[in-house]
Amino acid sequence: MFLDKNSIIINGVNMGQYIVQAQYSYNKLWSSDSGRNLAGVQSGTLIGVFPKIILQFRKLTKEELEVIVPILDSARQNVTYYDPNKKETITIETYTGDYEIVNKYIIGTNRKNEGFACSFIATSKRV
Amino acid sequence: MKTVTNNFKEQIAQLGREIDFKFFLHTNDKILTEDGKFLMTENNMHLVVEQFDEEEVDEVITGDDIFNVAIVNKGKILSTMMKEVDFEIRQDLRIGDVIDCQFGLKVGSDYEYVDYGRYMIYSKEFNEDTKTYNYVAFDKMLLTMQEASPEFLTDLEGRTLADCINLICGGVGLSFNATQEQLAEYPNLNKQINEGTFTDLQITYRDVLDMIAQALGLSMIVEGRYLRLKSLKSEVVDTFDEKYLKDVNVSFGNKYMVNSVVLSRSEDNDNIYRRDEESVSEYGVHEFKIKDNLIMLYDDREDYIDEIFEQLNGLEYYINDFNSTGITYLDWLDFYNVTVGDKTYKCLMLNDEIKIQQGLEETVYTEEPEETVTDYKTSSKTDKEVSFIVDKQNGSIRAKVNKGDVINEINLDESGAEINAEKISLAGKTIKMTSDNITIQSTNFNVDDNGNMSCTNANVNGTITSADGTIGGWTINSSGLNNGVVKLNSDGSSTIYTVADLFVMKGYIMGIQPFDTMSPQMLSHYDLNNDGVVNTSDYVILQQLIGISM
Repeated sequence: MFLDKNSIIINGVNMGQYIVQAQYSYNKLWSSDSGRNLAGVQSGTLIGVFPKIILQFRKLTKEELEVIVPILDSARQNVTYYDPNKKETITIETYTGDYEIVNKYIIGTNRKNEGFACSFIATSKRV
Repeated sequence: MKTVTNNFKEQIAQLGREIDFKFFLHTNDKILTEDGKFLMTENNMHLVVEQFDEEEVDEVITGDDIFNVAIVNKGKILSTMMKEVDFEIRQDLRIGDVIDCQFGLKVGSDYEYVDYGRYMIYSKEFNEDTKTYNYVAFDKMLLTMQEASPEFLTDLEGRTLADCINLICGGVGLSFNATQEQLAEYPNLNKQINEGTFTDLQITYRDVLDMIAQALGLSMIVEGRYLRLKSLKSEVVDTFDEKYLKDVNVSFGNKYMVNSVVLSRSEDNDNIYRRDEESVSEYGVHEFKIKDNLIMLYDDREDYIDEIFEQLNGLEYYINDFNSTGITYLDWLDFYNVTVGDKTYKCLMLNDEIKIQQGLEETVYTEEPEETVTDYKTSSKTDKEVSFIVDKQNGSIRAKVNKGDVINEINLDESGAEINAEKISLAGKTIKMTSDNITIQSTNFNVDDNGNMSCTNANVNGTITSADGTIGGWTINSSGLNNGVVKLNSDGSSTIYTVADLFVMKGYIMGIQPFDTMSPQMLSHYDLNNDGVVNTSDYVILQQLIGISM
């Protein structure tokens, strides 16, 4: 949940200044034992809730990209965010999805790339 | 049944249950392997026991490092059961390491944990592809798999079954100590093992416990530090409906029941039994047969069978095979009901495999017991009338019939064969007896060591050869038969002495008739003492032969 400018910190970098949108999805992962029982009722083991945060970055300068991209390219990230289920700010370990940066102009100090999105997916279930 | 809350029982069947598993590791710091293999000998047993009872927890291995776990309980009734856990984790543990296992289910906001007991790692295997280790571990019943020494086995003989269990448990770090209530409830605990039962046998402690379990009509399991006796006379602990069953692989077969118990020995040739006749007449014979149990191989079998029958009579459960969504809290030998639609199946937990990976699945099955058939016409309720014992250990066979005051026996052992019977009949087209020496002793027919035969009233047909003896008052000698006054010679001639011969002989002896007129035939006839002359000695003999004095 994005409550204030400090609501999302990734690897120690406050993302609030770089994003225009944060989308939080709380995905349930079910075990292979899930299915209908003999009574026709769904049953099964919930492995856990694996949060995914999709950040929509605004147009970024070359210098700003040079701060963000190393984080996006790393194998693992530590993401601190406010979780409404836990009612507190928590830190989870994530991995990132693919992202694409579009340049319509030559990028420099004043010109910026087009905005883009990147997802941060929890590596383990939220405890 | 393990102790769990009602919320646990409800939650385990729910969609969205969350599970957990933990191992509490007690690392092995004692030498328990040889060439990578598990080593358990009489000499290092105390170290194994110490390791098994280690209290200090060295590490807790949680779900993050556990790839899969399978808890396996498999057994059959009237035996011991050894619990097993197979698991795959990242950590490299040692053979001989001990783990306590706990399964957790999130109930409300917290996890409720079920204790599955303590196990010792018996074997391990490394997976090159996943860089994980597969382990197999067993509970403390593993320690009874040790071969018992001859001295130990001899020490068991003469002891009660309760004492034997105590001795075995003492050697493997288990506690037993039958209570007074148990001794009263299971009277076979007070029975003694006969001398010679375990002579020259190579068996394990567990083999002995299995025999004792059968003799008690009970089963045995390790719980914590205790060896527990489990009876089949227990109530249903819980009922499960369709929500505990997966929608595939659910089958229920015939109802298995017991209304007859048979103790069998001598390759199934000698059986005693107890039956519930009312049940048999209604449902037919459904027997449970115990074969060649060394403890019950002697003539005191009927001292055991009543209690065994008491434990087994009335046992009934459905043969089953189903995959469950997960129950997890039943114990081995628990009775439970399964309700499917309007049918209720009473089941007995004999084989249970709980698999935990990301999810939970439980496979429960009961195998169809081996069918046995006993010819009850040739069986009896007691050994006191008929018994047939094949004692392979001592190399002997004994058959006995005992009715009223009559006891007939056949005994075979290395010293020979002996038949003692009221009457012995041999009948056959040809009967051949071959021996270096036959002697017969009876009131009417005897043959001694030297071949001298005597009998009364013999009727003989055929050829008889003799050069000595008497027959019908006649004396047999090499030249013929004679009865004194009459001689029948082997050349066919005969000689008869009469009173006239007295006068003739007297005439020669008194010189009335000269001796030189006596022909050789007359000399032979009258020379009764065969001294070459005819004199008064011959005359006396002739008088005696004829029976007249002159």
